[in-house]
Amino acid sequence: MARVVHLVACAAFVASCGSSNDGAAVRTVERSRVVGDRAVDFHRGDSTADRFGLGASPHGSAAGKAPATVPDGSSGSKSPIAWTVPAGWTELPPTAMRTANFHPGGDPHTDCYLTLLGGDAGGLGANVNRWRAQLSLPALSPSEIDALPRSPFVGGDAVLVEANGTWRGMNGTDSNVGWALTGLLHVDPNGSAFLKMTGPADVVAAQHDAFLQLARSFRSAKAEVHGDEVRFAPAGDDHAARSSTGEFSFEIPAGWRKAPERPMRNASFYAGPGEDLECYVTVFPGEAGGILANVNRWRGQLGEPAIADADLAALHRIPMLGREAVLVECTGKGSQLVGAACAGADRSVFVKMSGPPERVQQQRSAFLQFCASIRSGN
Amino acid sequence: MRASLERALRALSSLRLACVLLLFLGLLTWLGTLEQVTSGLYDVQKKYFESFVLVHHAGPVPIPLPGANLVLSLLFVNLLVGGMLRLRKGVATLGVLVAHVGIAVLLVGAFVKHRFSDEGHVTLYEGQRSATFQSYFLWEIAILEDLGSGRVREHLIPNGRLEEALGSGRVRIAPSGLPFDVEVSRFLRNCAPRREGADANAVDGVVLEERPAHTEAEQNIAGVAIEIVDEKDGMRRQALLWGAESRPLVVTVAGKPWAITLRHEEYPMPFSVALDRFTKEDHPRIDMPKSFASDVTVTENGSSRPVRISMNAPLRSQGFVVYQASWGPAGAGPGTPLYSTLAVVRNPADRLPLAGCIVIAIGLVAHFARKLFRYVRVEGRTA
Repeated sequence: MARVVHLVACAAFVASCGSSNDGAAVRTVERSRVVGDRAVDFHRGDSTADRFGLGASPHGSAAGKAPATVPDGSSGSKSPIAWTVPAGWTELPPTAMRTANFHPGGDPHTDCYLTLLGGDAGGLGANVNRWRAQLSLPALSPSEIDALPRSPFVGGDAVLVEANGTWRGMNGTDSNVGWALTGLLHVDPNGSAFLKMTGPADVVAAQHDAFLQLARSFRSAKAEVHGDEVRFAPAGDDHAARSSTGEFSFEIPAGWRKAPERPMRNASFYAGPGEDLECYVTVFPGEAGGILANVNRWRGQLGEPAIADADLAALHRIPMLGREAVLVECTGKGSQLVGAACAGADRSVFVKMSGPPERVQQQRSAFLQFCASIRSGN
Repeated sequence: MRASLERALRALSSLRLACVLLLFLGLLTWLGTLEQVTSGLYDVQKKYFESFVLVHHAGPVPIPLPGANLVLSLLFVNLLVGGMLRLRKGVATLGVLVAHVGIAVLLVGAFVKHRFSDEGHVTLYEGQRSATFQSYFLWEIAILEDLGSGRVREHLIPNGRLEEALGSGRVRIAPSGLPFDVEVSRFLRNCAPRREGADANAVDGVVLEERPAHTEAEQNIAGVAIEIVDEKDGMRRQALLWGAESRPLVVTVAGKPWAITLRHEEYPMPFSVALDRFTKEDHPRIDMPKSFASDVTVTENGSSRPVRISMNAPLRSQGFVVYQASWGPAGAGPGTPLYSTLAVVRNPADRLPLAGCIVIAIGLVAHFARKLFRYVRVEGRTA
């Protein structure tokens, strides 16, 4: 990779001041050099989202406009999850971390949103106490957490948290006295769901019943509603069905076998002989919190410290779904993890394999081959 | 007039001024250290040690202070004028005079490094070669022009121009010889892209969302919102550039394609470095590295030589120092290819600190040796 650098004119930096018609200061810059080894495709017209690794837009790059609002009283039609919006609530567009997003009672200071995360998201106790800390409240002991009430949510009894205090906000920078939080936590190693409502105590109290009604209404977008309670299928059942009808196609590496279906997983495999090494595919709507958050969640599962954007940018990319997926590899707590994360505006796809390090190493090539084989459609 | 000049010179050379300046230096060091609880090293250095004046906030109370640049400049003048006017010249004070010259050399070295040095890194996987290094903190917009035969001319807009667009600033840059101007409407030190068609700042369905700056400034990823203004017809085209983008923006102006990208400032080296082998040795049974080293081939002036760069054995050549700094990616599993990060410093005054310290040591040794000799002689007489 011989590099030929001809310094034609460099380090000559001349700035002259002026003003353009629109008031911007004008600077002249004379600094250039000629290099011989820049691999630049001057004929490739990528969209901004593609250049930034956000994946292809479902609306096409030229249009690229997400809907600004979802009409009141409906549920997000693009999402694999459906829900019934309580009367008087304002529904907001989903964001990266909020699959469903509302202003309860139409109050702009009160938020309610559904967050879906893979894995146990740090566990029940950590999340209950994180919420309490946001309200300036002390942590609960494990026995106190066990004693918390339960309420129906996503097809089971979830832990119900109700607390009043001074709201410190997500970053600890707010100070709203007299606020309250009502939340439900469904924590499962295969995927967790959180529904949380925060705001002025009087509004939160007034919307308590509507909150529980909303919690019972979450269901698969394709499922028929039979009364209030419907089995929740965040991604697994819904996508598994579509997978078999052609949402994805992939080649199962030699020696791999299909594993029993699990909630939140689109496909599961035993990688190699035995059942101690699993590889599975999960699909979430939207960006699912973004690549960085998910990479750090995986790292956290193995006790590894979080990485920053700059580290993420340095990670290897592998081809998957016609795009680039970030390849994550880390070791800790006696296990090794190799994963591929591919985020897009419409959905985010994650492939993960973790288990004993020597077994993961044996199946690493097969894992990469499997990821490369995943395609949309047939 | 003469009296005023003498008064000014006396004030500038006074010991009182020297004491006040040294107290300010101590205060700045203390405050700058405390500030690192909430701010990163880079920001603290800029605020306290690379400024002429600053405002320190003690709770809600703003306190104006002289920056270390001003304090050290005054100290240099105080040392110089004091040395010329106040210091007794003779054999008895020769050592002290020499020590003062050494301190002046240190100050000159600090000034040259501050004004004329570049710092950065070159990060390579095995088999890769580079003749440039990148800044850790500073960003530039590079406008790439295809010259054919694989050659590219880079037109560079440096960090200083971009920073003029921090906050509500807006700056229009006219790169010499290009058929368009670049107007920077927004420069974000740390940001991440997000799909958001409804936002007023959205371009092509994407916004750059500002994030709090990292305390470790090298982890920031900058972004800019620009408008490309065609010189010929004044047509404007909005675009976003992000420091971690995988590919440059390509636009066609005056019938010719141009690639535009935001990247860390790049500086040429007078030699190239190729990483042949990177070696990392861990402590037994844990992932903590015991040592790491890079075997590189350095090519300069047409000839190549192998060099091993390890933690305390840098490469020095033509005013550049190349250190073994780090490696990655973090948490890489067995079998994962590793990269080596070499820190590069171009400092014309690289050897001045050493020279200053030697001069100070000579002066102090001479001074105290003379004192000791006189003491022994006096004691010998009284005995």
